[in-house]
Amino acid sequence: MNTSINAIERLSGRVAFVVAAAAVLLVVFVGWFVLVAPKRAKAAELDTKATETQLQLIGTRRFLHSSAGPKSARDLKKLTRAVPTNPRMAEILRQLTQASGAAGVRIDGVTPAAMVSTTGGQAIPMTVVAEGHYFRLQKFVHLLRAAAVVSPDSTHVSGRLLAIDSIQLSSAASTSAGTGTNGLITATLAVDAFVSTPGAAVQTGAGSTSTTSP
Amino acid sequence: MEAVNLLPGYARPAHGWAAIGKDLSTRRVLAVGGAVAGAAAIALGGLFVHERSVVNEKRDSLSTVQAQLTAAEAQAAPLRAVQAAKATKLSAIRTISEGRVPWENVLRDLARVLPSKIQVQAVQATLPTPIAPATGSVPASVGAISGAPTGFTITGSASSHNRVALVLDRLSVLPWLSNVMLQSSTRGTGGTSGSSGADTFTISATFNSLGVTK
Repeated sequence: MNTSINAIERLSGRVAFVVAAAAVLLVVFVGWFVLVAPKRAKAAELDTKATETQLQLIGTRRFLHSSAGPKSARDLKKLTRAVPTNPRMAEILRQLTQASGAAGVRIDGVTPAAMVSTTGGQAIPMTVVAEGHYFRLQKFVHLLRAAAVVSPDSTHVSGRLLAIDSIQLSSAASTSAGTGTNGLITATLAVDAFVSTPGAAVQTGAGSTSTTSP
Repeated sequence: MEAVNLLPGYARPAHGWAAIGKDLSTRRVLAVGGAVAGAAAIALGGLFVHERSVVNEKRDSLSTVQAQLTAAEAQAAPLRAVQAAKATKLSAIRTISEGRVPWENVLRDLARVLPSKIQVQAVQATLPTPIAPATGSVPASVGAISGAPTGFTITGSASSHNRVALVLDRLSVLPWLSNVMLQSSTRGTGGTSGSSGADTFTISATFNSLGVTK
């Protein structure tokens, strides 16, 4: 203790001033950079994070209160009507019957085959045999296509999405009995209906034929 | 014994900065320095406490906003899932819908270009790349010859070879047909109902679905 007091007393005033100034600066530097600055940086970081989270919250709340969510639900329901998650063969038959009635043709047969994989799901290939006059058959194929039309500009869905892969027309006289056809034509159409989830089975057995008449 | 400078004040060297603290008492300098360092330490401590409380405040407000965001996101999650499902389905349906051929336009074009005095017995048109690849339910084209263009076949009867030539010319005009080729044109032998003496023809062509007006 005495030696340190003696040492202090041996210091000149100038050296003591330098030592004191250095000690003050050391305290200020250490205090600022070790204690205060990290807290300030942390506060700024939390501030930025809070602002970002707040913006996210505003965006989410805006989305919740906007019509985008309910509109998407409505659109999805509409699209599911065009491409359901299971085959719903009854719906297809009703749609074919309705189209044939509107076009004035007669459906002689609908034969679904086993499902095949296709874009975004599975397709149910069917052979549809219809009989009618040429322009009525033209209207029939138009009605089948028009039930679901989705383009970049618009979405119209009033039934199942059906696609025709091939079409074969033959004069009714050349096909079977050939009695009193009056210009009737038999159209054999390779029609595809679509199912969005794979794994569902066609309700009617593959190869079975459903015959309807108006 | 203390050294005494006998030079007058103006003649003494290192006057100014070098003289600072020269006449100060060591104890006093150290006491003042210690007091200043202590004050600085107290000020920095106060600042630290303040910054710490600011950080805690910001942390609390951040956790509040985060909790609100989590709740809002939980509410929005089903809607976002619906939106994603809609986008996926829409994309798949759009691909199919835009890939379909408006067969009514094919039939309309065909009816427009076929000349009079010919009788069509069968027409078959198949997409080059069917939407459902395994469909294949329509019977093979009538009278197809190996190496002949595929996708479109028309069979009928005409009053003369000139009429058959006119059919070939007219079919070549259609934008959705290319490589129109005559497969056969046979002079009728008579006997069959309604076609006695008429030329029976088979024409095949390559069906190009992109050429069909949408």
